[in-house]
Amino acid sequence: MSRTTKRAHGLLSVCLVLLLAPPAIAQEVDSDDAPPFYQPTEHFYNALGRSVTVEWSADRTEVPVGGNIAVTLTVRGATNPHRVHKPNLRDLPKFKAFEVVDSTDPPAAGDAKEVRFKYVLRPRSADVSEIPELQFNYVNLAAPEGKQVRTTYAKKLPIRVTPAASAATAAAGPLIAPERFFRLRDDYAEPTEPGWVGWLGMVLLVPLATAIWVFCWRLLNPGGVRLAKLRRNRAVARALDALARAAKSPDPAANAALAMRVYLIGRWGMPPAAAVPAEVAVALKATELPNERIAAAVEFFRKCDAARFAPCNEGGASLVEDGREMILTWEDVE
Amino acid sequence: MRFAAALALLIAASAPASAQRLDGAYEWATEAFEGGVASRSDSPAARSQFADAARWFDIAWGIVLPEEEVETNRILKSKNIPSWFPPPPCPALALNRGHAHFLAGNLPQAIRAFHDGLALAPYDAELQQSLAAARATIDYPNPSDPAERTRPDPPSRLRNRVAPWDLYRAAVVCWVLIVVGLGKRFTTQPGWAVPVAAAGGVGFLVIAACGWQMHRERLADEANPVAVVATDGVTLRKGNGDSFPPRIEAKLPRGAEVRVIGRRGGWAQVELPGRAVGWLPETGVISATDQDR
Repeated sequence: MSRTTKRAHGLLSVCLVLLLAPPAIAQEVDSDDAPPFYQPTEHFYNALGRSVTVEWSADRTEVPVGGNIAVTLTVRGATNPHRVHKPNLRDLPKFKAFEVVDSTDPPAAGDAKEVRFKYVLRPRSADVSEIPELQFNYVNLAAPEGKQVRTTYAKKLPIRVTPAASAATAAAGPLIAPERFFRLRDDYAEPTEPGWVGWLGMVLLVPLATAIWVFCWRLLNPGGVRLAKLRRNRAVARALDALARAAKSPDPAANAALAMRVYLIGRWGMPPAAAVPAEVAVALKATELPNERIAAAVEFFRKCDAARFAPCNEGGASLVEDGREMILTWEDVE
Repeated sequence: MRFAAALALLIAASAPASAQRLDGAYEWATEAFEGGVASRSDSPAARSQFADAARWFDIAWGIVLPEEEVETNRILKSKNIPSWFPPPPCPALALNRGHAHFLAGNLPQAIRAFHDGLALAPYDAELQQSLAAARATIDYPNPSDPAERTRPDPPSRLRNRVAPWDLYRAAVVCWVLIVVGLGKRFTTQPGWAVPVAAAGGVGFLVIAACGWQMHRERLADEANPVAVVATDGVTLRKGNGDSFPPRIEAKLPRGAEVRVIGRRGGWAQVELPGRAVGWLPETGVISATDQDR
């Protein structure tokens, strides 16, 4: 057999092998993905596109040994995002430093601009310093034959792995933390504050409430105003208070007489030396009091003396009331 | 996976509307949290559950990470729900967020959550106690210069002690004293009327002063929000660049709290609890205020 014949036989054998070979590799790509003649098997995840990029992102940059770090691989620029396969990190030697926990990702839409694959990685030791670089092959069908397979990389992501020092971040065993952290509060109520209306209203209500108070009191006590004015006179106020106390005392007649004497001395200028009714009558005649009032006052003192020296000492309460009425009448209080 | 499934179920269960309040996030978070408590004898499994709970609490608070936002919006749109909004923030949610983050091992996020809650209710005793417990796990350096102190002071200001409603109740008591005193003064005029009204007035003035002080403290907090150091060994520098020398010798521990004074070129000017001022890279701190909402 000539050399040319042998070469022809070799080419024919290769063609036959290629034609008769089961389409195991081609099954990786769906019919609408227009399978290329050559299918790379390693680091190829069925991505087609002119310019595909991949990128790592993580939810944190620091993680304790055995702790979870959620990382996301984002694939952009693929024309078949719904066909792109999720890289199995467990099969990649670079990721042996991690325990890989897969998450199920929702399927990407056919017109999505990017595909996201989520993983939860647990670093096995504190020596880990990065999420490793990931090689990602894709096929550009628009490129000339032989240059269709392109390679891009998800750049490594530096992380810091801390030893499991804290009780709450211990790698194994029970989770030890203050007991209060294991309890939830369930009163999901929005906090409220008294608004400025409440504060302003309170301030404005002070004069209003006071005015209402005074108005109602005057309505219920017609002579109250006059009485209130009277109380500004120290002698009258003292006499009324003394009469009020005399009603509760063991000898109301004597105390009522004393209160009336104090009143007459302070209010009408009666000399303090006048003690008995006759002396009071003489002393009051020197004042501005009319005769009928003088007579009433003398009569009051006589009744007081009679009550004081009577065997049963009765009528004290009525004398106190008489004295009070006398003062209020003289002061023109209804 | 669990998170995505839970979100899908939550949205499927909800009726379509133009904007919906995600109250259901509480239930999912609580379920995950209780799962973590049930499996607390297995630390990694429990932490994973607590991390799930923390994410749900974050969503309930209105914090959605960028990668989750795309997924969330996609599922919502497929269900004819153009938008959603979180339930109103409350101290209980912040407290639960903090607990979940702490148990998941995310100390800075836990401290941030407690500060978020204290921004709402600075007088909340549970938040203060949890913040103190979280701080107790941090190994603060002990510098010789008091200005370089990184250990924060316990919350001891007026707004950390007095609730606005307590102040209002005290004001109501003073109001009653004033009205009774003035009412009696203008009617029967007893001797005690004026002193009582005066006592009420003085009390009212004291309450007004307290309210003003609390307002000032609130403005100061809002002007210089708290930020939390996200990683261990962060250097406080004298300027906003790696070429500047360190402001203090000690490195800031993870979870240390600082007050942000300003920001420039990816760096934050911060003040330590000891009053020393320096610069930190913005990537090294997380804001502890409600800026994400």
